[in-house]
Amino acid sequence: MVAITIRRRTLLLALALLAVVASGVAIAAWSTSTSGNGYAKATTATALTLSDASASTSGDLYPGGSGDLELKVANPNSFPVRITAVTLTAGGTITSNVGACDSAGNGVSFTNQSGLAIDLAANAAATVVTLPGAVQMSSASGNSCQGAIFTIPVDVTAASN
Amino acid sequence: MPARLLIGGVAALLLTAASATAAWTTPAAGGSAAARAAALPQAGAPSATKSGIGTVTVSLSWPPVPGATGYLVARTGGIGSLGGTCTGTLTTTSCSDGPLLTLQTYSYTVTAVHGGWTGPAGPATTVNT
Repeated sequence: MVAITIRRRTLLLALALLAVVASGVAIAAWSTSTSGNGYAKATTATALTLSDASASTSGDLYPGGSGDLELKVANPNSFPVRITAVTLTAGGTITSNVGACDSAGNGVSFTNQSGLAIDLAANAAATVVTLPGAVQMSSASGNSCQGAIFTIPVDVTAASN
Repeated sequence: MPARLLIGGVAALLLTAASATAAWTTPAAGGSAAARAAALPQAGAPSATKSGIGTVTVSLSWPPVPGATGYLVARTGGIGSLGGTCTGTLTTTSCSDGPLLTLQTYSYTVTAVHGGWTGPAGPATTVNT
């Protein structure tokens, strides 16, 4: 009889231990965790886009004088940018829409612009930007250059703002 | 120790500020910009008044032309050539031509100039002496 009691106690103890172990496993499953890498991708800066600004020109260039440069620029980036410089493209040539004007030497030059602070909003549509007095015409500019539209190849530098 | 902590805190703040103000530079955007040359407009017809008997002087004046730095006066008809103060490139908007013979018909036009540019000649004004 005593032996049976001891066996029953042993069995109950074993069952109790099993229950504790089982609950521990269950708890471990709820609190499981892991480590590893998450990923986030930074956006990339895209070049501004320039389009034809000739329709915005005002016809203010005279021989021996200076006039405005017109830029039509859009910002395809999802962040605002600030234009800081506009420079003549290396090796670029200023031409006009009048052949006789160019063949005689149109006398037009562009002064590189730096230290600018022209702000464009994120995803800004094409906007006309004026750089006052950035274009010069020499006094040697020919008579055929009257009313001519000049195309000036430029590089535009901008940074996020 | 507190001083070290303070220095460390300031340095951390400066680093944070520096990273916050760092800007992304967009790739250089190449393209075309534009500028336009002016065009000299046509000058107006000069007004003319004549004076004198026997030999006549014609006084001309015309409205200023935007963008012009000078004017050329031309004359056709009659005998002789343009004279008086109307020769060469004028920087004024008036001049006098003479002496002129009587019983002649002269026509005057004005053209605006700017450097090497010349505008279209304006309409003529006729004077009978």
